[in-house]
Amino acid sequence: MILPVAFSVLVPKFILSFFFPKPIEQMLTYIVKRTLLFIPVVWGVITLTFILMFVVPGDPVLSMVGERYDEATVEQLREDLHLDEPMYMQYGRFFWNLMHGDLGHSYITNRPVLDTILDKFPKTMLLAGAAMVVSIILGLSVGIVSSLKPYSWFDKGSMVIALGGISAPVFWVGLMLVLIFGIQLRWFPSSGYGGLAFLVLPAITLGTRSSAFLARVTRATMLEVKSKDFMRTAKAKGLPKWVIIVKHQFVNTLIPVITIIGVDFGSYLSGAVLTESIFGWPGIGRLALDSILKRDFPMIQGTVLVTALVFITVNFLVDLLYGVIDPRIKYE
Amino acid sequence: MKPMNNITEKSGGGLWQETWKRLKRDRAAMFGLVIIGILITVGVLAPLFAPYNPFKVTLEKRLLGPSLEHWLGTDHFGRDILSRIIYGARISLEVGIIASSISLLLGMLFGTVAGYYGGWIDNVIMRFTDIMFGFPALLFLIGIMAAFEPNLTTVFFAIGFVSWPRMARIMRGQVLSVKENDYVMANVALGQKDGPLILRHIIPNCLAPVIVAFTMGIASAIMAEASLSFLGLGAQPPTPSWGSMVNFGKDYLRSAPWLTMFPGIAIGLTVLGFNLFGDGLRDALDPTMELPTRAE
Repeated sequence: MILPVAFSVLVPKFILSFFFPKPIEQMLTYIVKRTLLFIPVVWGVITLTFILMFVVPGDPVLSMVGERYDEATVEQLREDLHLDEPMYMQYGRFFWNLMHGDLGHSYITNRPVLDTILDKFPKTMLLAGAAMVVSIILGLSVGIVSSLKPYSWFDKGSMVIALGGISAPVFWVGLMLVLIFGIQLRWFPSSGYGGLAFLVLPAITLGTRSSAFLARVTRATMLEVKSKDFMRTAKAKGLPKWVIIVKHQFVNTLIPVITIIGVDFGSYLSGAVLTESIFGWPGIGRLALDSILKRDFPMIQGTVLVTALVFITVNFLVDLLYGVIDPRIKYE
Repeated sequence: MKPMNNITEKSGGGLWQETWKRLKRDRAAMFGLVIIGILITVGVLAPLFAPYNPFKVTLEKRLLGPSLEHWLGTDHFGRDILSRIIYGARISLEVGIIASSISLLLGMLFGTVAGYYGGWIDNVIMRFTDIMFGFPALLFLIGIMAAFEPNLTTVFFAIGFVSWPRMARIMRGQVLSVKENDYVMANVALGQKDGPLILRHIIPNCLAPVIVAFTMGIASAIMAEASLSFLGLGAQPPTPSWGSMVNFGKDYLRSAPWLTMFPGIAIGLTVLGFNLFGDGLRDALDPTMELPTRAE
């Protein structure tokens, strides 16, 4: 374990030192090192997903054929699905197929799992993207305005609402939005997939928690930065107020803010299961849930795996982004 | 040699007394504590507080709106919603405390071992937590629930199992810094064995952030159970879990929104209580402490 990690740091550092000046070399070393740490995690996620489905009690074949079956069919099916092989063989096959983009076939529809996922995934991404927009607009603006006049009524009020937004269950927020804007006011459709109108309520539902959190973090960081020396210098130089706020105060809150946005991507993927099941949104969250209820194991495996891979990739990219935003960050 | 306990006792309150003093001044934290207090009282003494039997089906009284007789109305089986919410407090408390304790035990065990021994064992444990963090929490939980029979016991263990890596990381960080202290060195030099050293000197000095994480963990466990039960993968009927009440209530959203509204408020308030208290506890323990600021 130590040896590969040591190598992952030293070897690229050595090679890169020939080609680049020091700061860029440091950054590239960091990127390579982070990438090399990313690979074992990907492997681990794949393996854990395999194990999870392997330890499932009950025979998937029996749940496929139903109540009435004859032994020959069951044996045949088991052989077709390679379920008669020992665990390491199945693991090897699983891994090999995965490397070739083959996640198996659904037990229910017999359609390739990957096709179904590729079909559903963009819809979840659309939802998550819209939620992210809601969260950034709402969270950042409320957080910034609150921080400009701390302890004002606006600040107190919005922070209480933000606390509520963090604590309220996603699914409940969704149902209340449906009740108010879908059923009572009839402003937006309460479920389904289609144009922009269909996106509004699910996006707000999914974005609520993270905008509330973002508002709190933005406010706290803005206030923290306010007391820094460079802020006093900026004021002393006689810069206009908005320049100080935007160029000096806000820019320095970006690191925690981007961390939150990145970390929240995972909560979007989790929240997507709840949101999609409320709004009948045909994304990957609902696919996961449906396939669990139908005990469609290849499909469960596929959705969990793909979602986890997207999640760790996003976290990985966020980590890399830090360096671009804040060159002071040490890559060692 | 007998330790001179009396000296520390007289010199103006230990960490916990100081913390309590600061905590008392924090109004938000006290509000959280009041919510937690009410929840525990109501949950433990549910039969005394509940005006009706939460399981009794009275079909002629189904879907009644809030009234003096049924403060929060009745559900699709004519069961009193207030009574079911009161009994539901028990379930949420159980889930919160049991699941969080499982995560605490596992996290402390692995975190301590990783931090204290370091080397390859640290590497293995930490890389494993990396992998665990690779799964979005709820999706991971759903995957586990799919593999096993959905019921409350599975929910306890599933949530405990999914949440321990966070605890382990906090614990490991603490152990790493505590083990550099002189008193630990002194004990090693005196030939103290690892076990007693860890239990008596290291773990007690690592507890502060772990307790904060435990409080926050209760909130996230309650939220996770509610989400699973809402999806039908947690508590099964007729268990009055708040999440499953919302789940069954959503079919009557148009005609009887109180079925959905009130259990949801109960979940929100409970989670809010633990979050506020946890926030306050963190600030009171150490204002500079770096800790997760919310439940997942």
